[in-house]
Amino acid sequence: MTDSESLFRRAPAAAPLAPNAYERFGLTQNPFPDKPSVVPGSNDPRLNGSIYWADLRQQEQQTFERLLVPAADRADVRPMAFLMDYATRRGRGIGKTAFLAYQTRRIMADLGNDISGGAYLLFAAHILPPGEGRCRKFWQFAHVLMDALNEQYVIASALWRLRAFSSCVPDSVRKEVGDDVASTLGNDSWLEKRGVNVDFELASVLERTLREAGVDDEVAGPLARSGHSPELFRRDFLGRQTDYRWRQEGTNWVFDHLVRAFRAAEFSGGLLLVDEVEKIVVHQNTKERRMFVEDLRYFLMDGPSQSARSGFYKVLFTIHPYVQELLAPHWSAAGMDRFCALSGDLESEHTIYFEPLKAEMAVPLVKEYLDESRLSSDQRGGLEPFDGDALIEALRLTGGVPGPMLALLRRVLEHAVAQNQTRIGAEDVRRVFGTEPPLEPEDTREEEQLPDAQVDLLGDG
Amino acid sequence: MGTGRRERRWLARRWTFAVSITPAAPEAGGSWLNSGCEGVRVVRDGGWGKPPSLNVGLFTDLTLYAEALQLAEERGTITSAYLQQELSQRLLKLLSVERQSMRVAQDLVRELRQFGWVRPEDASAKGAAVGHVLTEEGALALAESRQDRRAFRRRLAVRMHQVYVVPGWFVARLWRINEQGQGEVILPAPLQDWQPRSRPREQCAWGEELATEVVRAARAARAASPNAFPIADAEWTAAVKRQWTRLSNLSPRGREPKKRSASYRPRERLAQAMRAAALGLLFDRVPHGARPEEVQAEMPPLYPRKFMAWCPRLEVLEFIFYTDRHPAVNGRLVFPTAVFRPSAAAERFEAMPEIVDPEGIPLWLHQPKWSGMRDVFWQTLRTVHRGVSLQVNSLYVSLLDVRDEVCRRLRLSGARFDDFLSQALRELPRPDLSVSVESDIREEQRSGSGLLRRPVYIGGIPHTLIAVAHLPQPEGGLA
Repeated sequence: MTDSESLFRRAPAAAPLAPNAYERFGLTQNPFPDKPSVVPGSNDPRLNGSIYWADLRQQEQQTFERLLVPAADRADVRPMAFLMDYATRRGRGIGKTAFLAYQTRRIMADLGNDISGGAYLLFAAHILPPGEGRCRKFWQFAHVLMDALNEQYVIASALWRLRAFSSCVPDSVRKEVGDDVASTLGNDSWLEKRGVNVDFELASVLERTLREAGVDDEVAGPLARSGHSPELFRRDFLGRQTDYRWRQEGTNWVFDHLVRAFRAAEFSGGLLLVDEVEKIVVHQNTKERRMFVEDLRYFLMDGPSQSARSGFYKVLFTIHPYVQELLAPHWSAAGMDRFCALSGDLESEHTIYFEPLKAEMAVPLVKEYLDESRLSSDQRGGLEPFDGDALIEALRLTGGVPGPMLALLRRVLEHAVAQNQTRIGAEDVRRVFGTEPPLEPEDTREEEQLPDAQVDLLGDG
Repeated sequence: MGTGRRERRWLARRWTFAVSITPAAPEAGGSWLNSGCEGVRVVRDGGWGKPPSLNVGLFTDLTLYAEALQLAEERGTITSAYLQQELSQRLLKLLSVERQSMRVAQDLVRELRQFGWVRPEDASAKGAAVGHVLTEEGALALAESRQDRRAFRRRLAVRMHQVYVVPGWFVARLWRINEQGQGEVILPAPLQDWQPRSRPREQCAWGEELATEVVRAARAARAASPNAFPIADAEWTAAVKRQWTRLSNLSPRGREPKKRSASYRPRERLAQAMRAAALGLLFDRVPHGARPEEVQAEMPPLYPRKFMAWCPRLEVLEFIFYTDRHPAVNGRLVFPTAVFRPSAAAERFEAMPEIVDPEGIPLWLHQPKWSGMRDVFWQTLRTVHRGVSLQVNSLYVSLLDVRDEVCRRLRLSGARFDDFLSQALRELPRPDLSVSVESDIREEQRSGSGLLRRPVYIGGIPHTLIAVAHLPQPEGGLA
């Protein structure tokens, strides 16, 4: 093949099919994730957290609802709560991200109808702060929030609702919307084909509605024109803002104007589920930490913003015990303990404790993963090629932390394929565990005693 | 005192050479104090005799001796100025040294003269311009440096001990400080999590924060190795406070405007104060814990500058091993790789009969043979690599970190470790594991004190990374 032929060769539509090494186990593929963490947005269900056994975290889910989700029988919920990670010293992968992703999906599926008993209209966003200290300042945090609300179709949902309720979209068109709202109500061409004048009529009506709700002109215009599509809103508004603008106006956009827009779309509240808070706090210096906490109070608790006045946002912070230690003095100094105790006696009233799994939970969790990759639906619900003891042993060896357990089972299955095994028992799991690659390093080194010398210079041996 | 009696006592009391219970033999220099207190005995931590010279050179590159001797042979006469001009560019660990200072050249000539390896052409002449010529013994040393570097190092060790006494005394003192831990000593430094900002020079008052850090450092040292820092917190804090005050009262260097705006880094100053205080407590004229009236000590205390020079020298001579970057230790970890004992197995030890303690017991360098250490070396290498690997979550880890801990566990000198690792690599491939070493310069070795951390030399090339991977077994499952 010549150079130009190589250059212009088209990619095959699909990778050539290889023999399925897992067929003998009744599986289409290795059912366990090849990465030890959840990757939100991935197309692979093994990675994106969509394989989820809700009973696994039933206790935590109940606490989450009690603390943060308003319902017919509990209007007063906490403005803020913590999800405490007790697995730090056992390595990551206890399932926090999967839990947050699941709760986000659950709420966004019907805009909180089920979870609130039909009493409230809610949205949820899963917030993943970037690393390398790029979220140390509160305006950077606001930037991350707005990006997430856009990318996760929260802003778009609000605009779809405003479009649907506007006089510009007739009932006949609304009835055609269907489940894929992004390609109907969220699609200008689709609407125009049905006689809706999007550019001149619909956008103007929405802009006027937003302005009447108190949204600033600078935000109302772009929201009305492009808020229905994350790509368009990113291009027309978010992507054009400089850091200077974010520093000056970012917090007002998120905690004031967006809240007004959401309320115009009849949302009663929004849940911000903030993952990996250590990525914010660990990089901050003392002054930044204090200011961050002060800003949290100002914009969420008792400042003059719409968010604080209406208690619109409910925030769940996922923290390590180490982060708790770093934040506690500033939290207390800013008077935040009165709103949401981070430490002390009242801590448990604002905290969802996330604990390692019990041994018996391994089996149903693994079944969820195996079922997703079964060749035949008849085999669903079975554990083959594992026996129950193998799974319990895997959970025990990995300290009750599901992420490392799934990674171990992936290796065990690969080993079984290489060794032509048909059954996998506890002994097989132990053997493979003995050859595990290094586990996660500890966050902080404990003071440990050095081992004694193996050689005695005074001895005769 | 007969050898048999000494041997018996040694066996009975394991290690008390420094304390002579019986009136010591005249050659050992012992005596009973006429204090009116019967039974008070003289601690022979003294008894080493007054060193012929206290003026040790502060350079640490011991290859300079052989090169200076060679220049003396080639040219016939050497002077300090000539050496400064002619000594070649060299690599000191990973630090490139273009040219030696005049101070180093002067110290070098003086030390060679003290060793008896050169002598002034004109015995009455003095000053830096005096020419020196090779002596007969110097010629022998030069020949040895060409034929057998190890033998040359031993010869150098003996001469250093004869002139300064520090080599033998230092080993003995380490053993005295922590006999139970085989001489393992930690000189604490501030913990890593204490990183205060620079302060104006005037803000140097001793306070609660400093006292807390001092105690934390001591406790961390004792947590790492229980007897490696046997100083009580109160005594330690008082000693560091004294040193801190002394350092704070020193005038800053530089011109007047700079002096007025001078600032200091509290962490660095506290580290200096801790080092000076620890040396004052542990390596003073009188051993820590001994009453002054019990001691007949001729050895001067080891001040920080000399300590900084002696540690690398003794490490090259294979008397001790030290590291400032052990992952589990804050501060300097130092332990002897030699021991004073009446006799020892030749498969494990190399005798240095010219170096004896005050009781005449000779020094033995721990120089085990590969055949006797092969299995334990492999096992320790694997264990230590896995430990470091778990900490940093990487298969390739710092070979220097691995080396430091392997040497500590096996009481090997750095040079011996290099030999053993080379031997181990020659045994590859092995069916059960694979070992790879790389010579990339790690980030922390590119500047600062990292440049002066001794690399691991394999075939003369500095290596810095190691990976030890277990290989799957063809039959019988995974190992």
